[in-house]
Amino acid sequence: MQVTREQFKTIFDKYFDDIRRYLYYRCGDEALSTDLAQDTFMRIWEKDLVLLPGKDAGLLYKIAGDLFVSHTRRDKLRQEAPERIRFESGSRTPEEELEMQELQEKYEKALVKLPENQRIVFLMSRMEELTYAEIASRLTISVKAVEKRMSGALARLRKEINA
Amino acid sequence: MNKKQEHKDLSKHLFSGADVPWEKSKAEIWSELEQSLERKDRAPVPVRSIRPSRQWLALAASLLLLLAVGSFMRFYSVKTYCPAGVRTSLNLPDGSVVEINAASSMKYHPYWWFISRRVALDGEAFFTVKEGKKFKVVSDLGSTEVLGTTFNVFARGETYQVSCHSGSVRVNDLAYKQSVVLSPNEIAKLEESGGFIVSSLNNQGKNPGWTENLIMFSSAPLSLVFEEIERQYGIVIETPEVMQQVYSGNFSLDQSVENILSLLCLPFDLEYERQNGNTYLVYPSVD
Repeated sequence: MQVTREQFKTIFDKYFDDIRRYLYYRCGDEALSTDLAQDTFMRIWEKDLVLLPGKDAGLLYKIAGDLFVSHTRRDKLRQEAPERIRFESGSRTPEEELEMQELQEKYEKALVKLPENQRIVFLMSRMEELTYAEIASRLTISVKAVEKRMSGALARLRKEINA
Repeated sequence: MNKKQEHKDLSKHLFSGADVPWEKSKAEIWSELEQSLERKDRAPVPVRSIRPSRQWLALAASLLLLLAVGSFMRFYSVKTYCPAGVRTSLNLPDGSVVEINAASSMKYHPYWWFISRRVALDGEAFFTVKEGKKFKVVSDLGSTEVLGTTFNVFARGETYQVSCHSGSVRVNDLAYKQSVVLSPNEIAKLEESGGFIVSSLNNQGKNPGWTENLIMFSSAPLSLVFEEIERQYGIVIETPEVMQQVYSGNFSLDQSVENILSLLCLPFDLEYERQNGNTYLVYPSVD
């Protein structure tokens, strides 16, 4: 069976951002995440994989993760941990801005110190507001594992930020 | 509000609606990707269907192959020829053993063995047959059938005789369609007029003498005795006339042919002389 262009576009629209963000959570490198996400979808197209929206998201995350691993393996030199994971906050009032500025910087620095597993789960939960069940199905792990990583992440972040 | 709680709330706030500061938007990436889709748009893989005629061809080919393999198995045969002066022993595929006497040949179909146990024999052989399906020995004049037993077949020239040493065998006269069933220690000789004469064996309870390196004669015409010696030693014995004297006795095949000939000649007033090579002349004493 061949993937039609329409089917492919649907999958792309639905998942591209998620996959790119997932990669960013892992490596903290904006350009690399974009490249690898693009490769992920190219692979789906070339291999003629027919994905059912909502059902096969796990496979996309798997492919993206594998691509990232083989990239870092090939390119060991560049595998330095990023200094910070940057993100843009939503709109804020000027007062909030003042309060948040410092906190955001602290978070950005603290996030890179988390183990990769915990960081991914934490950011998927916070930035994308996914439920634990959704995260579990995308990463093809159990909900229990998500909970465990999440509480680990929160404990570590708390320590870092209050330090 | 303690500091912990405060942070928690703030961080919730912090992340709501947050995103990574992407350089390239999703739309930009799609347009890039779309171009490479354009390039990679594949020519549809041609689907080749097997036409019915090909199917028939394939069917015919496999039938032919089956037929070829089948007839190979059916007709492939192993032929063992045992020249004069030599005796040999052969294992058949099911573990039956054939001892083949000198100047005899035997043929069987090794790949067809488990469907039909059948050997063709010209000469003399002693069979020790494993129990199982019918085992058949076919010669020009007669055939012998058994299930599992030991027996000796002598099929040379005009003579066809079968001796049964254990179990039982059925001996068939191929020309006259007569048959006889032998019990152990019986021997059947085919008559020229058809039918068999059954008599009891002289060396009861023993395998044929030749399988134990003996030749035995009981009231045998001397010409037959010479023929047997010719076969066992791979020599030629010439006599001025057909010798009709009757002889009974045993020889061990371990001794030399000269020794046997002198033993044989003495009671009949004969003499022998070695010609060139392997030929011996036997003639009546002159005085």
